[in-house]
Amino acid sequence: MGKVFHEIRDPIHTFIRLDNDEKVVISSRQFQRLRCIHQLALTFLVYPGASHKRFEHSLGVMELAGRVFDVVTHPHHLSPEIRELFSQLDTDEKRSYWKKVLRMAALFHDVGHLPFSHAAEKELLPDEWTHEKITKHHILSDEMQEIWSNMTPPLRAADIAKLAVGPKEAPELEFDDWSTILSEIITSGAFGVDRMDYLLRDSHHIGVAYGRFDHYRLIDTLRILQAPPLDSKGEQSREPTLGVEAGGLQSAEALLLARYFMFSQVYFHPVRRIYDIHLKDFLCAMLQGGKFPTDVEGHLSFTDNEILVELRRACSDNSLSTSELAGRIIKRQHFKRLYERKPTDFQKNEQAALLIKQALEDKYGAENIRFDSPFQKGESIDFPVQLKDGSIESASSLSKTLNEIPVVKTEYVFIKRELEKEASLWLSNNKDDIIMS
Amino acid sequence: MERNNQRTILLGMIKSLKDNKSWCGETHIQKAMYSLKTITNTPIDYDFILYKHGAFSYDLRDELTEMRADGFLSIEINPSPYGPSLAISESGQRLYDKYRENVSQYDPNIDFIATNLGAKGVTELERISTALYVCKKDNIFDIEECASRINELKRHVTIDLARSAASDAYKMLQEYEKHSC
Repeated sequence: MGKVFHEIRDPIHTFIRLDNDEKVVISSRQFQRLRCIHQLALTFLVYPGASHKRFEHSLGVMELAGRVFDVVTHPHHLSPEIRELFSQLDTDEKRSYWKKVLRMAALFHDVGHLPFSHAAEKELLPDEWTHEKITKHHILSDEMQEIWSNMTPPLRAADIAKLAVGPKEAPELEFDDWSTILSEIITSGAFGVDRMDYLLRDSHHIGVAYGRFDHYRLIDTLRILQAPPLDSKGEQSREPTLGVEAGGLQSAEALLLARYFMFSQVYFHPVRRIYDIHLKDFLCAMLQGGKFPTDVEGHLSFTDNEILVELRRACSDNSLSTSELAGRIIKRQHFKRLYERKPTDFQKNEQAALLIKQALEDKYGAENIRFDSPFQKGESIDFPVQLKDGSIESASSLSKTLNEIPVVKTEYVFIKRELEKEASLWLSNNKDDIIMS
Repeated sequence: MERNNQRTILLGMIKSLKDNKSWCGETHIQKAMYSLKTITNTPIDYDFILYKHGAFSYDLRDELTEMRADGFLSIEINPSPYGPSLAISESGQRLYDKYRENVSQYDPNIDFIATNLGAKGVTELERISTALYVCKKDNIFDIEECASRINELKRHVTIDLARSAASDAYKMLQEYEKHSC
């Protein structure tokens, strides 16, 4: 008799367990492609350990999504008010259908990523396209529909697509209270398992401790709760949302702190950021029409491997127009950071960095200057906390720590390395005039 | 719309909501900005969908977050058990003063929305913004039909409350039409 369950070794979760249907999905060419998509783009050029791929991250997200589902839908963890909102939990069959949908959505949530993940997605896709939209197309493709419909029980592709990409990217799919909560488990909110896995996994591979937090405790204390009182006017909203039991508040704080440290120390590292920009420049020049294809076959034909081969080929052939662009990455001839946002400059003029960038472009040519202004999107620090007496309070009213966690934002102006010394001197002589202009 | 002009409209809305005794948490601001866009057709670029507590914009959430990162907005902690409020900082006030003239034509729109919604709590705003969303997106202008659609999408909102929200939303739309004539 064949095995019903399978285990995959994983450095973060020790074992990831899956059933036969999940094994079929993992064997699909869409999912196998993720073996060749770096989780953190070219970050391995700065942190050599960052060579992990979307493949293992997606397995991790599936594992955590299943654990969270079991915890938050456990009958002892649901209040009668919340329980009556969800007919999806009426029978074991319905409950296991939705758990399976959630795990499949978690597994497939990243299949639409372009080569090198997030790097320059906006510029490299046609208007109105995002990697989430490509993910949705893969899930709804005939090829995958056949796989979903052959499962026990058969799964509806639209349910998987909805949870995989969330309401932001699929507003046309209509989210009720139930699908909102389930998509929140994966992709959004303070406690999305996508976030949990990437923080743990990225910090493990990079070799930093910042991203760690007690995810076991956090997951154990997650609950579907009514929204916290958001003001003192009238009655409290009954909208269900993900929150924690009081005992999990410190673990939630640790997750949000981990996120802050990872953004400030790793994700917004200036050299990592300039490599993303150089990669975008190279791809815009290399790709037909400067864009990646968005159809299923076209999308599957590009992974990091094909791009790395192109980069190496272009770098070694000076006759190619892309040679210099490739050399910035392959020969590590990246632009250097000339200016980084300073609070004193920003106080004088909120457009200081932009003005400096423009002045440097005028002086040294736009082709020698690059600008970047990353900030930590998607922050929402408030969530419901259930106290021992069953009452629900806003996390921000209970935790000083949460209220003090800064949001990371910076601005960089980079310059071609050969011009760095001269431009540095020029900028120090002219900066005040530029800012006050 | 130009970035700083849009931010100035947002700051103007926060000021006006505060003047009208709003709690001014993120949810209150979200619903007010949605109403500003939907009822008064003020050309702000934030896209809204039906999500948390009714109409919700990820763009606007990111804008509020970025404005906190830039120091234009700060969080005011409220006593337990309530959620936080957002307040305009000194540098936020400077930004507002610098760009205000560019967008002063929208002041009456902001005033109309803040006057009508400022005193309302989150649950009421949630229902009204959901009603507005349903009526605009699905082109439903019948109270019963709208109420049943709200209840279908937001099961935690009872039919009676949905009916009253639909009625409030239609009233606001009519009042704005009269007001702007």
